[in-house]
Amino acid sequence: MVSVVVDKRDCYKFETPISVGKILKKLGFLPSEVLVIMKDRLLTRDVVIRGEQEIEIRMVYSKG
Amino acid sequence: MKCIRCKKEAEVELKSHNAAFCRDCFLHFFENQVEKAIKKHSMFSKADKVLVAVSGGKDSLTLWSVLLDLGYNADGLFINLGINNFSEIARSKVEKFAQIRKVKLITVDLVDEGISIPDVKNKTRRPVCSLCGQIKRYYFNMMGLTEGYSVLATGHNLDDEVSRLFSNVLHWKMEYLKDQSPVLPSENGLLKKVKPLYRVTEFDTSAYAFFKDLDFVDIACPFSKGATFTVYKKHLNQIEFSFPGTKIDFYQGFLKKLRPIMTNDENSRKNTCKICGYPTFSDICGVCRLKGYR
Ligand SMILES: [Zn+2]
Ligand SMILES: [Zn+2]
Repeated sequence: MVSVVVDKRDCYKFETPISVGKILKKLGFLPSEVLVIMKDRLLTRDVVIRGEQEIEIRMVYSKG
Repeated sequence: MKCIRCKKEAEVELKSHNAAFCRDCFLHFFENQVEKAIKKHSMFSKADKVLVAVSGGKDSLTLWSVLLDLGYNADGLFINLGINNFSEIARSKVEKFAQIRKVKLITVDLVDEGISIPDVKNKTRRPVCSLCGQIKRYYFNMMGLTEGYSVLATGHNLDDEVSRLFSNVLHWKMEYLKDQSPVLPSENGLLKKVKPLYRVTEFDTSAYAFFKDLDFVDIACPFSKGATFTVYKKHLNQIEFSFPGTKIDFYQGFLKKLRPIMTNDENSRKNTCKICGYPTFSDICGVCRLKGYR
């Protein structure tokens, strides 16, 4: 399983293995509107998450 | 995905540039884009004193950081809007940055000036965001000119510029279109204004801020109704996803093809404020009127 925390609020869980691109699609995000962070690194959409992991998604839009 | 420059594992994919970069190569790319914008539009040189308008948000702190890294002589200007908690958090982020980087920060406190944003919001019926914008522009110009800066730099990125252009075109706001450019020359007694981040996207500035570990405000201003622009940005990103390169084409096409044929005469401010000397259409400028001068 991978836990995905979006903007420090909502948490979603997905079965692994799963690609970052697939997670973004399921959550309705474009790759250009979020940072996908795992262990202090950014992930591109081709990366496949395996096993037990935790990733964070941050929206890039300024909050005004 | 591999970095197109050094073949290490990529952390960032940039479809619009048909590229992917590792952390170091992305930072190199980002700095390059900013340097290109500065040079292409003759924004300023290493000899100039640059004043960076810093709000404490991601874009303005990114701008300040990258200008310093590129070796420019850049000081910060923070305007404390007096919006309780929000302004206090913003001030602490900006002060922390200035302290870490050992750079000069000028602060204007609107509470001391008698025109804090919550105060003026109650005094007039004009939309608060437009008042806030007017007051900020006033102090950007006044402080820049009185403190001897050659130019004011703001953190507007490509998504800010393109969504604004899109909105101005949708509503045919000709007077705003005329003013939309990465560079506004010094005229009518106003300071030259530049947007060195206009070639990089909101995603790029977020990635830069993440890699540089910048500590910025990420809560919304309690008065902000900025949702419209975010909606435009999302739609434009959908288009960009299907047709990479559209955003920069739209913006640069406007700069190249439409803006040069737009005239800019009837807009000039002929008077100066009899209280503070600021360029204005009437006898007393808008900010002095907010301060109660009649
Ligand atoms: Zn590289
Ligand atoms: Zn005045």
